[in-house]
Amino acid sequence: MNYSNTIKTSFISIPENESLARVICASFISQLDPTIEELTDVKTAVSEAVTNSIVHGYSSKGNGMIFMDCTIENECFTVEIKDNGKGIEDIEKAMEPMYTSCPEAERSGMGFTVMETFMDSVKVNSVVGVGTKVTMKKVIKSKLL
Amino acid sequence: MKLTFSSEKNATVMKICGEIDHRYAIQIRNEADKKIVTYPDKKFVIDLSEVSFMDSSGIGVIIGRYKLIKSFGGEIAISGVNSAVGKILEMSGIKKIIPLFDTVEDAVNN
Ligand SMILES: Nc1ncnc2c1ncn2[C@@H]1O[C@H](COP(=O)(O)OP(=O)(O)OP(=O)(O)O)[C@@H](O)[C@H]1O
Ligand SMILES: [Mg+2]
Repeated sequence: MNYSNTIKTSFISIPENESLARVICASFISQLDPTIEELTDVKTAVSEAVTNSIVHGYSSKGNGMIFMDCTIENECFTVEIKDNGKGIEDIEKAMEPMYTSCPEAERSGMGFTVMETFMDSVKVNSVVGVGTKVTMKKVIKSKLL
Repeated sequence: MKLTFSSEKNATVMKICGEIDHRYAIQIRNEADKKIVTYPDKKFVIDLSEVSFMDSSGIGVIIGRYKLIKSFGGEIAISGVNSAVGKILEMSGIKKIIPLFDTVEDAVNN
């Protein structure tokens, strides 16, 4: 069976929208009947990327837009989280486990590592002064399709 | 997210209910630190049994409390690791530095 679905969302960069983004993605993939673990994995990875846009991209100023688009192609879930924030200078360094640009805020530098562990693939595009786009994919081993 | 503190004989227990993300991490940190500096001689137990979600902001807040408590020679423990937090605790390496217990009683007494 061939199945596809897409949603496009955008919301302002305030911490209240972290849980909103998680709930949207969880609801969206629920049509594939994911396991509890798959749901938790997706919610956690989405939370990391959205939090990064709020905290780093827009420096916690709450005045930016975050764009979150979700697609299902058969059993593959793709989520793209984009901000027009400050961008990342050195993506490779940013993605190293334990690297954080703000240790004083008690960030652990594990966000990208969590995304890579919990999803099948993570791709980061970023331009300084323009913004950052994180694209993540995960196959949901659905019993429905 | 809801925080409740209880005082056992030799320990302060902080029970976290609900979701731990960036939005709530600051609140957890502030309230935890008030208790930690008021009762520096007591063991600090973080009860995660009622946590339904945790991301790396939770790792940051737990490691931050670990560092604060270690800085004056105190003790910290975690209890009630469930399926919502197990995987992230595992990958974060927290298990290697903070002892984990099934129940609050075990965490207080061991
Ligand atoms: N959307 C973004 N815009 C600008 N910089 C970013 C963005 N996302 C990540 N970064 C940079 O990459 C670094 C690493 O991100 P990562 O999520 O791994 O760790 P962290 O956010 O610092 O800590 P944690 O996620 O554990 O709380 C950040 O410290 C920040 O400098
Ligand atoms: Mg992060």
